[in-house]
Order: sequence, then C-alpha cells, then structure tokens
Amino acid sequence: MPEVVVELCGIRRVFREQGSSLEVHAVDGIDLKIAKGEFLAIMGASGSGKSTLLHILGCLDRPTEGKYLLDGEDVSILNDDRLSQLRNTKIGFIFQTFNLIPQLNVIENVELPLLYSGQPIDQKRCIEVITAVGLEDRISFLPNRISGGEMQRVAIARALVNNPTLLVADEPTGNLDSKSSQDIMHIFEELHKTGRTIVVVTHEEEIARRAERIMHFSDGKIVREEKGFS
Amino acid sequence: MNLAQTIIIGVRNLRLHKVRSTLTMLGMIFGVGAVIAMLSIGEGARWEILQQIKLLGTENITIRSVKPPKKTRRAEETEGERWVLRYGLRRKDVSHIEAVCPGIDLVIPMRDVRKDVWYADRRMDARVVGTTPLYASVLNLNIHQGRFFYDYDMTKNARVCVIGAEVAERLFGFKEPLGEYLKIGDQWYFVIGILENRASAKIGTQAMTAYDVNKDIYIPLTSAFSRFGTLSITSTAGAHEALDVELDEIIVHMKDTEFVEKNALLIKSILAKRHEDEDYEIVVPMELLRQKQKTQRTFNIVMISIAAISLLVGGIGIMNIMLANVTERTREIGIRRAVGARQSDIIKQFLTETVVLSGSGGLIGIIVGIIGAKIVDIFAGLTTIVSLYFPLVAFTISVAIGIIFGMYPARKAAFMDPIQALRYE
Repeated sequence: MPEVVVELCGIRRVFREQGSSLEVHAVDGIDLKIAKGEFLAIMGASGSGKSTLLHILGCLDRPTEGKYLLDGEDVSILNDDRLSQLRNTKIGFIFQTFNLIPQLNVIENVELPLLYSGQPIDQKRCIEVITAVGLEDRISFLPNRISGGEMQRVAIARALVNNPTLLVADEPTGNLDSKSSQDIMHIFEELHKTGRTIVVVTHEEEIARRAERIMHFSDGKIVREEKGFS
Repeated sequence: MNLAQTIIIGVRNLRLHKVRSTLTMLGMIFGVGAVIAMLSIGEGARWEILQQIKLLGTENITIRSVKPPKKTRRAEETEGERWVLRYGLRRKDVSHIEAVCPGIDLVIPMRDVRKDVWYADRRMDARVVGTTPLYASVLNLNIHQGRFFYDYDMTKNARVCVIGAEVAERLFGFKEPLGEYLKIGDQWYFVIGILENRASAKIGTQAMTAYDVNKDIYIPLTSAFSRFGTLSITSTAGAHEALDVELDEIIVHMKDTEFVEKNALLIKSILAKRHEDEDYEIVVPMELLRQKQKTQRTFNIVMISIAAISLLVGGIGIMNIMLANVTERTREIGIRRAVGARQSDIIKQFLTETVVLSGSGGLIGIIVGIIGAKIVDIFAGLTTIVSLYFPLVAFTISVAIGIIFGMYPARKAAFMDPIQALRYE
C-alpha cells in the first residue's frame, strides 16, 4: 500500500442560512483516502457539493464535522493562520476562472505563493515552472495579453511553484475551448507521471476519464467509484 | 513578505488609480498643510508675546500720568486764577511707593518731553526722557557704544545724553556721535552713549504701547527738571494749554514677579489716597501679557480644531476610498488568501497602502503648510515661525491617520471568507 496523503473520516459540511433553521448538508459524511501520486477525479452535477469538498481538501474551508488528515496532520482543528500556512506549503490550487491577479505579470503571479512563504523569492524556481508549462516566452506579459489556455497554464505554474503535496483543480477546463482543455489535461497527465497527487473536480466525463480513479458525487455523498483510463 | 515588498506592492496598487489616489491625498495635503500653518501662526504669536515681555518686563508695574477727565478741568479753568493745569504723578509718589511696597527692587521715575533736536543742520523730533541711571537695565536697553549716565551725572545736573540708534543715524549719519554735542531745544548736550538698535514690537494694546526706543534720547532726570522744568505749553486747535506735570511715568521694578500682583493693588490704593482725581493709570504688563496669552491660547485651540477637523475629513476620505478599494479587489484578496496569505498579511498590505497614501499626502502637506505660513507672513503681516519639530509632528499625525482610518478597511479585507472572495464577480 503506497503512502496515504489525504485521509478523510466522516467529513460533513453544513451551511446554515442566517436567521433560518434551514440546514444544507453540502458534504454529508465522506470517507476517502488518497494515496501519494494518485490522480483522482470527482464528478457530479452542480450543487452536488463537490466544490465544497474540494475547498475542504484545499484547506480553504473547514469541515463542520469529521477528521481530515493531510500528510498525517489533522487539518480540521487548525486555526486560520496555520491553514494559510498549509495552503502555502502543501496545496496548489487551480481554479476554473484562473484567478490570476490582473495587475501582475506572468512571473509575478507565479511568485505570489513564495511571497507569503517567509523565504526569499527563488526566481530560478519560478522560471523553471513557467518553462515546464511552456510559457517561458510570456514571462513579463500581463494576464489580459495572453489566451485563456495560457492563463490556466500560468495558474498551474503558480500552483506548482511551492512544490505542493496536493494539487487541487476546480473545473480547470470549464472556461476553455476543447483544444486548450486537451493541453491542460495533458499537463495534468504529465504531472501525474512525475508522481504528483492530483484531485480534479469536473462535470465533463471526457476530462474525468483521464484520471486514475473517478468518484461520482451526488447530494454530498460518494455514490459510485470507478477506474479511469490512465 | 517583508516591509519593502509590501510598500512596493502598495505604491503599485495606488498608481493603478492615479487620479483617485491623488484626490484622496488632497484631503491629507490640506489637513496637514492647515496644521503646519496653524502651528506656525501660533508659534509666531508666542514669539511676539515673548518679545513684548522682554520689552516691558514682567517684573515691572508702570504708572503713567493721565490728563484728568474734562469735566473737572473745566471747573478749574472757570476759576480763572489757575490756568495752569496741574496733574499727574509727583516725586513724592515715588518715595511713598518705595517706602510702603514690599519686594521692590527699584522705582524709576521718568519725565518725557518732545523736543526738536539739532545737530549741525539736521533736525528731528525726538522724545527726550529724563530718568535715573538704572532705567536702562530695568528696560533691558543695551548700550551699543559709550555708557549710560551715572549717579554722578545726576548730582551734577550734567548736560549729557544717551541717544537711540535711529537718532544717531538720522542726526549724525556716518559721523561718530560719541563726544559730539547736540542741541535739545535750545541747550547743548554732550553725547556719552548710543543704544543698540532694537526691533520694536509692532503690536500691543494701547496701554502697553512700547515707545520706539530707537528714537529716544535719555538725559539725567535732574537735568530734565532743571533745564525743562515741569511746565509745558501745548497748542491745540488754536487754544493754548499750560500743563504742569512733574513725572510722566514711574516704573516700579519688583525683585520677582510674585510681588507684581500684590503691589499693583497696593500702589492703586496708595495713589487713590494721594490723588484727588484719577490723573494716572496703572499698567501691569504681566497681566496684559497673561490676558494676551489667554486670548492667544483660545485662538490656537480654535485654529487647531479647524485643522483637526480637516484632518478628520481627510481621514474619512481615505477610509472611504480604501473601502471601495477593498470591495473592488475582493477577488485579489481571495486569490492571495488561497495561495497562503494570512489575515495579518492582508491587513499589512492594505494598511501599508493607506499609510503610503496618507504619509505621502502628509509630506506634500508639510511643504504646502510651510509655503502657506510664508504667505500668511508676507500678506497678512502675522509673524509665523516654522519650528523644526512641526514637520515631524505633522508626518507622525498623517501616518497615524493612515493607520487609524485604514484599520477598518484592512480588517474588512482580511476577515473575508476566502471562498466567497474567490467567487466575487
């Protein structure tokens, strides 16, 4: 059995509307183990709670109930500062809307996580990851000067720069044409080959098929699990 | 993230909205400018008051002869026999005050006459003051050349004089006045000393008006009595009036300021007993100065309040813009949080921006304020003094305003839910 990176035990996330007693169980009791180097896709309709789960995995949100062990550390009880630090060192986030900072150029966007690491910025490392996603000739471009696919590649570079334990992607191809989507998924596959642990949330079957393991999500629960192509 | 990086990011973000940042800064510029200008005006006024204290001496009480009210005078005139009006302070008052009042250092009697003064073919109208040798030290008159007269000159009724700087300049030009004779009225006097030029205080209540000592000529009191007598004839509107005044002024110099108040009351009662009419007035410089300082303080408080209000308005303007900034950059905040910025990092970033905004506004405001003070100095004729610590105070205030008014927007940014922030459109 390979090393386990993520272990979820009875994770629940309940949202309570203010002033009403209505409770929404976005994630309703999830048990999940992700091994090191695994490439996992989470599929489900919108509103199924898959994004909420991803936020919990990415340490952006804390579960209402349950235990989340990341690299053996219980994340569900950490305070905000410690969570920020975890996001900084162990998590790489990729969003559907890329979420680059518009006034910063490509390399500055990639540098961003290093800015908060408390260490001097390693320019060489930044150029290395930018080269890895094939954008070495776009280094000083502003985000509005490059295409959507390129923006997502910048986002991937940013997610990789701190050499994270876990890469989480929320609908990474949702805003891209099929050609760019292919490129991005290709990058994911390459990363998977180098042994990175990846979790991708998507509602596109075709994208999910690229993963090793696919989990179908509905009403906050895992309803089905199958093997992917890779 | 270190401070230098934070500041660079702050400046960059502010430069993205140049007009907005500049307009926001204007509030601080005017606020700080107003503070600097007000402080300078206040400091200038304080300096002027100090100058007056120096000129009049806070340990002094001055008693002046005053023509009694017209009503009593007319009664005397109708008597026909005494057409000479006799009033004012007498030499006996001096000895009486000396004998009764405690803590008195000196009592200086003074007699002054306006005379035409001649040297060769040059003439000027001067105030000729007959007084005692210690007058100079009591009124802080400094001798530029030669000496003030001594007791010896008094006993001899010597015809010697000490002249003010302007007298020396106007009568003698480039010539050396020491050792020359000048003609006061129709008598010759030997110049034994010249006073230092002294900037005269240009303001003051009427009672406090300090004469321009540069235009004065000082002679021994005894000489004044023996040469000019106590009688003077003035012609006003065709009517002649003969006045008999022994002393025009008595300066009572106390050993210490603590005696001033008590003695002022004492002197008042002594003179009230000795004089039928109220043909004198008592001026207590210390009291006047204290009053003036009080007025000045009120004025300063009002001015500083106005400046403080404009700073407050500037601060609110900054807070307003920063709140808009935070909302506009919600997504950026979400991104930064997602890649590992702590709440304190976000607070630091926005606070730095606010402080850069208010601080640079403050720096410009300091320059504006100094220029403003100069303009007031030149065009309004108020003395203004810019002390070295003003810019320091003003800059500290502007940084403090940045921190105070930046805290709320910064905290608002930091405590956003990162997930909500990332979704913000």
